[in-house]
Amino acid sequence: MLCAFTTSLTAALGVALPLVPASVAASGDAVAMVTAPTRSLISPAGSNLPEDLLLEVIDKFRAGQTHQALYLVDSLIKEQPTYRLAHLLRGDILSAQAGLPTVVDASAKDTNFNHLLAEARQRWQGHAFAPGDRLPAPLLKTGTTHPTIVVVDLSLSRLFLFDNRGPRPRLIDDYYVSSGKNGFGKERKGDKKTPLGVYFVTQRLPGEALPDRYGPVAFPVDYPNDWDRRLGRTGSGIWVHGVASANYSRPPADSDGCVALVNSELSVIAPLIKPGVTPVLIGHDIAWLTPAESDAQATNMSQALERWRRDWESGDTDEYLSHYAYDFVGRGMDKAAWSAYKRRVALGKQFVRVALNDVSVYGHPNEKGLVVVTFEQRYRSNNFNATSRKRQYWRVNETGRWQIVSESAAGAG
Amino acid sequence: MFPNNKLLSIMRKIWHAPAGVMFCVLLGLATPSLAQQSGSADVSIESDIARAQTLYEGGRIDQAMSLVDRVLERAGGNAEARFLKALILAGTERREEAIDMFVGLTTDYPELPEPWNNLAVLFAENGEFDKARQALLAAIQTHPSYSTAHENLGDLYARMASMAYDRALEQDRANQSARLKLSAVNGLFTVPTQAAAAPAPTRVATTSPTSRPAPTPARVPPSSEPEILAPVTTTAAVRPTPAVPRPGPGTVAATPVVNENDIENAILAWGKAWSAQDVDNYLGSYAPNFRPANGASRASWSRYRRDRLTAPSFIQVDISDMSIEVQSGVRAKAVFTQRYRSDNYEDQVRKTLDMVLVNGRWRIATETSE
Repeated sequence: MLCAFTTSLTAALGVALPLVPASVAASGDAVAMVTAPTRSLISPAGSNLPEDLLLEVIDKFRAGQTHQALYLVDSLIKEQPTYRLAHLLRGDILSAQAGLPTVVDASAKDTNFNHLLAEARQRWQGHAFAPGDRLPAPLLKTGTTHPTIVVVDLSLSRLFLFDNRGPRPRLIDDYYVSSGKNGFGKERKGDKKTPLGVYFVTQRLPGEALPDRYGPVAFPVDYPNDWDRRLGRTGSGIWVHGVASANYSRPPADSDGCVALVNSELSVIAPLIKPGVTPVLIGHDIAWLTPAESDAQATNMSQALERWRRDWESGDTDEYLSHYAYDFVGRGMDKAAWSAYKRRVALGKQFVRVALNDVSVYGHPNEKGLVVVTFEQRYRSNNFNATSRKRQYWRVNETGRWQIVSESAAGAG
Repeated sequence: MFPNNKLLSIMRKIWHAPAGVMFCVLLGLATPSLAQQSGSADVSIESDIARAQTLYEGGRIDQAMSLVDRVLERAGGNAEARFLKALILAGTERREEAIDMFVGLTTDYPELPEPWNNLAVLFAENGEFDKARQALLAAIQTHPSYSTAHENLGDLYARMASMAYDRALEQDRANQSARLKLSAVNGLFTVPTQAAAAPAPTRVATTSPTSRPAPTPARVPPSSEPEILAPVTTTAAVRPTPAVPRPGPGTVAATPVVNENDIENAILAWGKAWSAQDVDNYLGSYAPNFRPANGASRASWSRYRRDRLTAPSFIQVDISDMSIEVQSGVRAKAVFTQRYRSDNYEDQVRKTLDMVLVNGRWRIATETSE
């Protein structure tokens, strides 16, 4: 109670402080959200963005440059009048100017106040995060068919946007996001958690067709996917969307499981997101690897995929089937049914040629030894030809061998 | 709007006796043209202004106004006459005209703090807090020890902070008016003489906090942090004001060593101001967030204290037996025996003051007696 600055900002941003567990939000609406303001890592215009300005205000304030801090926070509020965290900061600065202790009502502190502190902390941490040339470990092989890749790290409350049109993914920008009230690792309907996994955007829902709280546009993802269903996970309606027009942003743990971004920032990234194509990898505490580390991880998996393709072409069905895990499930069949089907088909084959194009391999952000492989498969044989897109889950078994645990048709992505 | 209270009697002391001297001193520092004009001791103008002031204080507003207008016909640039007219306009709800006149005074005499202060009062009453702030910062820039402006600025910041927190926390305090009542001054040259004569505030920066003599009640004591009163001069838009000491991110490490003498001196100065019936410095001894014990508003408490201080023909306050408990770098508790005597009342109490360091100066946060 000594000073507003001490009360809110130092508490919120103290580096030594542990992360406060995601608190249960008071407002219960929306599906599940990630809200993100932008800090540009690359954009030269970065310093003008609201979050940069906010953090500059905090820097100035901490440095005792109160006048500059007040001037900057006033310009920030002028630009973003509904930015509640900026108003809180302004209150702190003015209180310090007046030599006053904080005038925040104690009763207000439980919910809204703590939410704003959490937001400040997450933004501060997200801002401090500097990956350099490293890439998220799950981006094992990004292929050529996903021009944009989205990676969300829930522990940082951050959405990372990658441009994947070059030889390697390039981090374009990153944004603060809100996510599930009860954290992550969605298991069942209504648990208000954000799922972890490799997802793909399925639709684009224009804001005009949605309630205000979803912002300018929303992108549902394919939760529950093959892997989730296999594990009996339930629920639906996990979207990447915006926020209500009355608020610039939302607290870090505030949605029913969705990922919510600041509207202006969602609008910036929206044109880059393609339904049926864009991957959205959602994880927590995601590791970032150097290019060499990343390549080493990818090679092992790529070799397994290549052996599977060759064994299919060779006509040695036993070898081919050894690539499938005992608990494999695909196209409605278990391992036994799949084996019987494949042996029956193999009887009629004089030759088989399989080519895999546009291969992408994404590691599950938080399940070690599980990857999602997507490719275009060109199948040629004496009696049947087909080109299709497939998605497989591969898993490392106890002997260190990669095996297929599920297979299905993939959309355009 | 500008309450016609006991403040005026104090003003008049300054007004009649040392005013001429002060005027010259001030104007010597300021604009030669005005110095010539007023320094020529145009007795009829001076006395007319004094009469107009008396009329105004007596509530004879129309007569005061017509007299002031006549003075202005003869001496259109007379600062005192213009100031008085602006006061009258403000008091008759002709606020925009009053603002125009105070703006004119701040333009012509930017070194005088009173027009800036009163301009801030009017802006605050309009709910134009940013403008009010700029005006108060300008007032303080002219006179860093101007306690009325400091107090007003403290009240203003407190209100602005409260509003900012409300917006942050989505609280809607419908009963909280967007307007703010600050303390107006009813005369020019209400700033103590020595402060007016004091050089630029940066001088404080060289003062050693430990060897410094007891602060006089008339000025803001230098802080224990040397750069505290150094004005910011980097941008023209942001007027300088004394930087506010606050606990840094590492609160404990950043806490300056507290000199108990500073606290004791602050309390003695408070008692001295009380004895001298020096309302401004008495009220200036209280922190901006001081809350009267009886739950009264700060403004009504201030008015009440003004009356209590100015009503008796003399006041003598003696302080003895003081003990001070330093609670942190910015907080302390002082307990002492207070003996009060005036022409019509006398008592002795054991008083407790919670002191807080504000703007480098120890001020009273709460006051209780038993």
